[in-house]
Amino acid sequence: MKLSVLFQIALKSIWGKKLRSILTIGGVVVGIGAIVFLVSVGYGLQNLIVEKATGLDALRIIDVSTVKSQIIRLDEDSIGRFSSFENVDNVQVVVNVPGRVKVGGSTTDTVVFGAPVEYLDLSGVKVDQGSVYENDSSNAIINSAALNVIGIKPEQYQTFLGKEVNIELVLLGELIATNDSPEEQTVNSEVTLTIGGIINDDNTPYIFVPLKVLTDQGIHNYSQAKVRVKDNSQLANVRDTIESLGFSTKSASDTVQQIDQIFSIFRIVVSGFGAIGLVVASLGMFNTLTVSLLERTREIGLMKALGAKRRDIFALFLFEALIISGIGGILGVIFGYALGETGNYVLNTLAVATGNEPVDIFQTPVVFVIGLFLFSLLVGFLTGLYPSRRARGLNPLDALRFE
Amino acid sequence: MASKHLVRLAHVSKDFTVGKNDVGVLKDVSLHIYPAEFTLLYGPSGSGKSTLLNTIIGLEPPTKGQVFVDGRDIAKLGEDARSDYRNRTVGVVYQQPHWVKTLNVIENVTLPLLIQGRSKNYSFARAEYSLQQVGMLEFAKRMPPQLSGGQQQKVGVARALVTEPELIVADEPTGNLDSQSSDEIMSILVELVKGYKRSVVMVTHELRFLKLADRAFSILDGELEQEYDKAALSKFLENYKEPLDILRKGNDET
Repeated sequence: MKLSVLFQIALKSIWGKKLRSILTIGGVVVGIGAIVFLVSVGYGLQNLIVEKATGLDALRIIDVSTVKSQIIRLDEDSIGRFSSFENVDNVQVVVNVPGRVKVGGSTTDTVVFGAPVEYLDLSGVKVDQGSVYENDSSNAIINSAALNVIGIKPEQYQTFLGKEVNIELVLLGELIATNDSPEEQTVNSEVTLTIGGIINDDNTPYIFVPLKVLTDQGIHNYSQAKVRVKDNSQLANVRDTIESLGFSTKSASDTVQQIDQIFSIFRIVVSGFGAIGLVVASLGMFNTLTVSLLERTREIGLMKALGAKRRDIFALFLFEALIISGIGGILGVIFGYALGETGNYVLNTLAVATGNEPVDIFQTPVVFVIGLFLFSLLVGFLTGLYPSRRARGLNPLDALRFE
Repeated sequence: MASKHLVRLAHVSKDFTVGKNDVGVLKDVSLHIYPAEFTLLYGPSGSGKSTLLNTIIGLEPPTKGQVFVDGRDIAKLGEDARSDYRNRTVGVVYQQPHWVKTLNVIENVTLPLLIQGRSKNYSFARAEYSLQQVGMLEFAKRMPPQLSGGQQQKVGVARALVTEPELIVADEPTGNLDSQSSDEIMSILVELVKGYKRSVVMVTHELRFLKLADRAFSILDGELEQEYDKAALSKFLENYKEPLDILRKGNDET
């Protein structure tokens, strides 16, 4: 018997018992809908946290440093090599040295970062007052923590821009050393720079200066490089290659991986709650199919008497289970999605009304939706298996006489 | 003399187990059914005639013996193969109307063809023709339970015809019908034999139908009591009119 014909008969028998079918499908809808809704919260929160914690660009960046700076140097050569990797689209470096800022009579110990503008971009460094320097200028950017220590109040920031400061630098020997002269002594030096920008950051004092300021003082090696890959799928690959050259690496994706792990556990837990609904729904479906089997025992007998094969009857009942679970799955996914979107709408309206940034708490990835639909079909298949097998095994004569 | 047989039962016995006892419902029955003949199996209720019919259509495999249809021993076939045999070789008219309730009249009639895997177009065209043969085409779109008993039985005949089977078996098709509907069904069955050269085997306990038959077997207590061919039948009907009436009354009470 053609499967399409069996499918139509199955459809008709479901349509023939409208109320029962609607209630059964409704059970599946609630079960699947609950899973979609709950898991969407999981995905939504996860994305929210990952985005807030790292920014999307950060997921493409590898921080490269060297642990044995005497042997493996992070110098012009290494940077050139990183840049030549196929999937790398940007490499920027930074040098950090201890220093001391002098303004008038006050001084403070600070970290001095020598970095090109492009590095600041890549790191997401933003200037709150004034502006970022040019790479060949002698301007510097200082943070509020440093200004605090030397006694500059926030209301004086504006007037402090454009002031000259003296910076004492401690140039570590390992940063000066090259392959030709591997043993270099640490030296002190001093530069005078103009404050061009201020960053509001009260944690630890630091100052950014153009990289050229430090290389002009004789520095040949860098403390750290940021390597950006074209696509975050290539990150692991590039990272392995860099590590195989003896460098050590870090990436925001490490953190993201941990967040992902935590949330995949969270999703399993909330899916578990939703699955309770689905279990109840599949019991309902099982009940419906069993009752339908009893009611239609004579019909099955008739179809067998008219020549239907065992597999025809099996397929007929399995189709019914698959149709119920399939429709339930589709509607359930729509229901759960709509519930999540409504949640987003309400929360965003509230957020905007209270002056907060709108965020999507519910996110439903397409792959997950498709997966869940297939899962509901699987549940239907398993639930339908027993009634279908029973229907298949009925003796036609007994079935015809069944009252 | 009749030509080559269509069905041959050879020493068919059927036992049912009731509790610890085996009850013999059919006892060593051997008979032949011929093409283009109207054959009656008659006997009182419980005589085993329906079981005999179910043996012929492969719903009830015999305990012993062989059932040859078109030269093939169908008692030896597996369940699916017997389904296939029923579908292609036999058309069955039941005493009780049996329907797939969610399907309308014509859809029910198409079922045997759809089960064969025929296309919908072909099946519906054949079903229309079949319904026309029994005069039920105008009810094609109705649901079967909406029809009267006689109308349902005619649709049942149409369904039995739709695959153009060589053998049509009917198990007391008029059992639940008024006399007018009975006569209509009977004339359709007779026309199938006379006009379409089908072989019809009918189980009945109404002896008035004997005059329509080409051959009759009387069954009593699971045994073949007597076989009548056309000549024997007319002799029987001539000589035993009165006992027939007595017999008929006796059977109507059961």
